Amino acid sequence: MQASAALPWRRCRSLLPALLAMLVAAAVVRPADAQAPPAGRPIFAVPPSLWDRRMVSVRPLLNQTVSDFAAIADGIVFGMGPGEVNAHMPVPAKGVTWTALPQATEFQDDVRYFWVKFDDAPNLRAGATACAGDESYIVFMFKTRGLFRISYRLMPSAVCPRTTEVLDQIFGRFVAISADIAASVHYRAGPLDVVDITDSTAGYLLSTRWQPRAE
Amino acid sequence: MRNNPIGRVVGALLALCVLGSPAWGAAVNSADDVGIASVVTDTTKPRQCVFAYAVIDTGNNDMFVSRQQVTPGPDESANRSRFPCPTQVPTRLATRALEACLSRTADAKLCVYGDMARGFESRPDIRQTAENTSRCASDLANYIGIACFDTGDRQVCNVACGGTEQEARDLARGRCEVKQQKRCPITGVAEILPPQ
Repeated sequence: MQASAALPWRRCRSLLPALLAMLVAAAVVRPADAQAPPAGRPIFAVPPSLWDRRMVSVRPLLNQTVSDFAAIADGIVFGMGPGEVNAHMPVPAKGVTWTALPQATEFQDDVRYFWVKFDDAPNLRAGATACAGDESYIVFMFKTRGLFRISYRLMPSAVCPRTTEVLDQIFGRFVAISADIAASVHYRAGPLDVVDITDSTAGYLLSTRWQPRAE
Repeated sequence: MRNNPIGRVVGALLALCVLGSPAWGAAVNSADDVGIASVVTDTTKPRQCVFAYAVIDTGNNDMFVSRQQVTPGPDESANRSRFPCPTQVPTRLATRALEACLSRTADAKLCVYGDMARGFESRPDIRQTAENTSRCASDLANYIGIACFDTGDRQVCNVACGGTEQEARDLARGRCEVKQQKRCPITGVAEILPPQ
């Protein structure tokens, strides 16, 4: 009886080295997803709201003004003319006037624009530190009354294959501004991520989105 | 009674009750321990109740935290520097929170609450999400956490509340993995109270 009871233990003992080897292997060689650190995503914080104690009426908790927007946009505010916005560029382009600007055809109205490479306007990065690549750019859109939209167009490239981080940084900054001052919208347009920052008083122009033309 | 051991114990307990009563001022238990409002005045300005909602733009997989602060009533008092939150929360707070996404997306239909039902990926609709489990109250937790898995087209997520950043993240991941039966490696966390 004793001998037969000891038999399984002997079998197990003979298997011990193999089991140990398997445990060591399992500890060293783990599936790729188990080794990967958990991916963190930013949660964009929008301006908080304040309710009365019966939770019937609501108003913004913060008193934000145009200055809060201007602080992110390096002093640029909606309503500025093309020349004024151009003067904020590190190297202002020559001949930036309303009549000289091309038309933005996605709008039915007479909307004109000029653009600058993202890397050529470090003052307009909205505090973003991540790479944007040499294909990314910023568009300034004007009605006759002045600037009504700043559009960040982020395009991955060989020097910056992932623009998600810079997108999160830019969008995160503008999302913190009340939509009553500047409406920030993120959407995809072909291979680009677009962040439109639009004057909240721009009316129906607010909802117009850009899509790259099919080549 | 003086020589009776039971009498001595009863006497000591009575003395403790008298010394420990609020009338003696100093030795007041934590309000959390005894379940009554603290009589000690807070030295810092107490924070009002905040409900933090997690809402998601499923088109871009952008996550938003939308904070709804509630003014306390005149008869409410703070506990540990925080006002209690109402137990009944009207859905208009959730609707307001959702606007955080609606005004920041190109397609309003893609905005949903963060806590999703199993199978959301095949029925990506706001009716497959729950507003009440997508919110955290500042009197019960400090952080709102969200954990998701990526289907390729969109992320499917769940929400949890925690005392610490790590706890909120871990609880959200646990909830997501149990509910969705998938690994949920994409996580995010935010403070419930807005920065002062």
